[in-house]
Amino acid sequence: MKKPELHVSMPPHLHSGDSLKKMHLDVLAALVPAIFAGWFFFGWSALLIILLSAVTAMLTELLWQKGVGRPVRIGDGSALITGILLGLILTSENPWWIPILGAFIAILVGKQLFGGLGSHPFNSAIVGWAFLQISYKDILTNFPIPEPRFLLEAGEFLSDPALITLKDSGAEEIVDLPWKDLFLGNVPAEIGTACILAILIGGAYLLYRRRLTWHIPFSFIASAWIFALIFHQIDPETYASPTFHILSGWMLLGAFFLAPEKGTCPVTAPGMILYGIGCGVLTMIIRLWGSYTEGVPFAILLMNAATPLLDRIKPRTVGRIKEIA
Amino acid sequence: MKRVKGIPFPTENGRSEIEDLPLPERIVLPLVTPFGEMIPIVSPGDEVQAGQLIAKGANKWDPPLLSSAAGQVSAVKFWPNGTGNEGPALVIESPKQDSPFRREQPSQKDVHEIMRWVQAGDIREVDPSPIPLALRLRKPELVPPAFAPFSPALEKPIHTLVLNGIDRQPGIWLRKAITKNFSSDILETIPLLKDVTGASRVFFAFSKGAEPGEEFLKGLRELGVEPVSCPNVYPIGLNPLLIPFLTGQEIPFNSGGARQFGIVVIDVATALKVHGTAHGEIPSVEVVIQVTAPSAGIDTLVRVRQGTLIEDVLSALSISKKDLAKVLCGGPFLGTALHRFDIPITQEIDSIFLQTEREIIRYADEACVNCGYCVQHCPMKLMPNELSKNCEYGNFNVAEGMDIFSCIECGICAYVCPVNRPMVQLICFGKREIEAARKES
Repeated sequence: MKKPELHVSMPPHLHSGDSLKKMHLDVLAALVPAIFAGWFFFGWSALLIILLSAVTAMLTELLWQKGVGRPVRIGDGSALITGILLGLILTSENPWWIPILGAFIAILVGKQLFGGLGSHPFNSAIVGWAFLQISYKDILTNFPIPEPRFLLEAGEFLSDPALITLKDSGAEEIVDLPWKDLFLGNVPAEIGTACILAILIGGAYLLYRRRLTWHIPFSFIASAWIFALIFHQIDPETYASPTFHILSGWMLLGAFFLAPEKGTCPVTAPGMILYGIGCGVLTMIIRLWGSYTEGVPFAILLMNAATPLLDRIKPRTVGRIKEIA
Repeated sequence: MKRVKGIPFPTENGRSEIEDLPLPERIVLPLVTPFGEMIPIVSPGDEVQAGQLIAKGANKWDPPLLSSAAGQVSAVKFWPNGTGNEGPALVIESPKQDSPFRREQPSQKDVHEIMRWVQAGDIREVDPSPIPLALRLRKPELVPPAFAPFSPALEKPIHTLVLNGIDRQPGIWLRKAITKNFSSDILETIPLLKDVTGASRVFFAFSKGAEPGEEFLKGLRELGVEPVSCPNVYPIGLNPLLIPFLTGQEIPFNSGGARQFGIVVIDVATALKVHGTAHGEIPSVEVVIQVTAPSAGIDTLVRVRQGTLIEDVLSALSISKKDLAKVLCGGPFLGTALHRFDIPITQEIDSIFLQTEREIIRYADEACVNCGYCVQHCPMKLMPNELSKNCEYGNFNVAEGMDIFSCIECGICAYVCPVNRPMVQLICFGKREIEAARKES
C-alpha cells in the first residue's frame, strides 16, 4: 500500500509544549530555596535525608513500574518531587532508614497502588510521613537545634519546635519569641518547614510561573489566620496570636507545596477555595484542641478525601440556559 | 467587561500587502455549502463568464454560486473539498484571462436593491452561522415574507451589530491586515450595514496591541461606532465569546445563533464583500487567504480566484510539496487537516497552514493527571478533564449532563495539557456518539 503523503488528524494542530517534566522542574526550582535553608540551618545531614528520600522514591517508582509492566515514567519527575517533599518534612536527626522507609511507603502505598500519578487520592509525601509518624513517633519528634552556617546566631530561644512549646507550656512561653527567628527559620523544626522566607520565595516562583493559582494558598492561610484570630481575641492567654500560627510549623509549606499537589486537590475555583478553607480551619482545630501538635498534614489528608466531592461544584457554563422549574 | 479565559494571542503580524497569484490551470468550485448542496444550472461544455450564476442553492435564501473565472465547464464530478469530504463540484479547465468583472452599480440609496445584490452575490463567511448573511443582516421590516423557515429569529429586531476585526485563532492575522488595507472601504459600508440592520449600537472589535490607525478609530466614532479593544486572548474572536464580552448576552449552544437575541456579527472580510457588492463588484470571484509555512519562512497574504487548488497556490509561492506533512485548511487551532493537495480554496477558508514532519503534534494515550490546567483555561467554563474522561470511558450520558454540547471545540484544553491527552478530540468523539445515538432512537 502506498504511504499516504499527508497526515490527517483532528484540530488543534499545535501544542504549548508543556509537559509533566517541565511542570515538575518548576516545582523543583521552587523547592531549591527550602532545600538551601535546610542545609543552612541543619547542615549536611539535612541534605543527606533529602537525597536518601528522593533516590528511594525514584527507585521505588522505577521498580514498581518495571515489575508490573507499566510504562516507566520516572523521567517526569513526580517521584523526585514526592521524595524531596518527604525529605523536607522530616528532621535532620532522623536515622538513615527513616527517609528510605518513608519514601518507599509514600510511592508504593501513597501513589502506585492507586494507579500512579493523578489517580492517587492522598498527597503521597504526607502518606509516607503519616506512616512514619504513627509507627515511629519518638524518632520523628527528635528536633535538632538549628546551627546556621554563617551570619545568624544559632537560635537559642526555644529548645523544641514552636508548636510543641505552645502545646506543652502554653501561650505565654512563645509570646516573646522574635518573629524574625520564626520567619528566617532559626527555630527547631523539620528541614523544610523552618524557613518561612525560603518557602515564600518558592511559592512566589510557582505563582509567577502559573504552576499554582492563588486560590488554595490564599484561602488556606487566610482562613487559618482568621480562625486563629477569633480565638486569640476571645482569650489571648490560652490561644497564641494568629501570625504565630501562620509562621510556625508546616503552615506555609502545606499551603504552597503540599495542599495544591496536582491530582489530589480540586480543580475548579470554588472547589479550590473551599478546599483551602477546609485545610486552614481543620489545621487550626487540630492545633488548638487536638492531641497532635501539628494540624497541617491531617487537615490536608482529610481535605484530599473531600476532593471528589468538591470537584462536583462546577462553575456555570457560559451560555447555559437557566433551568426553569 | 468581563475577563476572558483562554491563551495569549501573539500580536505580531506578517506583511499586510496582498500578493496576486496568476490564474491557475484549473478551477474547481464545490457545490457543497454549509447550507446544503447546490444545484448546477450549467452543464459540461457550457461557456461561462466570471461572475455568472452557475449554481443555485437548494433553498432560495441560500447563497448561489457564481463562476470565478471565464472558460468552459469541463465536468461536474466528485471532488474533495475544504471540509475533508468529497462532494460534487464544477470543474473549469484552463480558464481564460478575462476583463475585470463588474456589473452596474446599484443605487446607493436603495437598501432593498443593495440587499438583493448581496443575496444574489455569492458571499460566504468563515465563521459558521446557521442563517445566511443576506438574511441575517436584515431588520424585520426588510425580511421578505417568503423566508418562513427562519422567521422566529428574523422577526426579532436587531439592536446590536458587531464588526469583528479579531482573528479567529493565534497565528492568523488576516482580519488585522484587512482592517489595515481596506479601512476606508470598511468605514464606507458601516452606514449601509446600520441602515440594513437598524442596529442602535454598533461595535468594532479589534485586538489590543493591534490597534487600527487613529484616523480609522476617529472615523468609527464619527459614525457612532464604539471601537472596543479586546484582550489578546484566543478564542475571543469566536462569536460565542465575543458576543458575551461585548454585550453581556450569552449565546446558548442550542439557541440558533446570536440573531435570536437581536445581535448580528459580521467579520471585516465579509463587510468588505458587502461593500464590494454594493459598488458593483463581484467579491466572490477572488478570495484573500493567508498562507503560512513556518518551516519555509512563508507568512503572506495572497489573492486567488475562488476554486484555485491548494497545490497551485503552493507552486506559485514555490513551496515544495515534498517536505510538507500536514496541510491545514483554516488555521492551526480550528482548521481541518487535509488528505490531498488538490483541494479548492473557497470563501469559507481563511488560511492555509503548512507543517513539516517535525512540526506535527502527536497526542498521547495517557492518563489524566488532574492538573486542572484545562479547567483553568476553558473559555466556556467547562471541565474538560471530566468530559474527556467520561467520553473515553463511554459515559456519554454523564458527559451530556456536564454540558458537553456547550464546548466550542477551540482546542485550548488539548493545547495546554501537559500529558498531551487528546482532550478536545475525545469531546468531539463524545458529541458525535451522542448525536448518533439520538438519531437511532
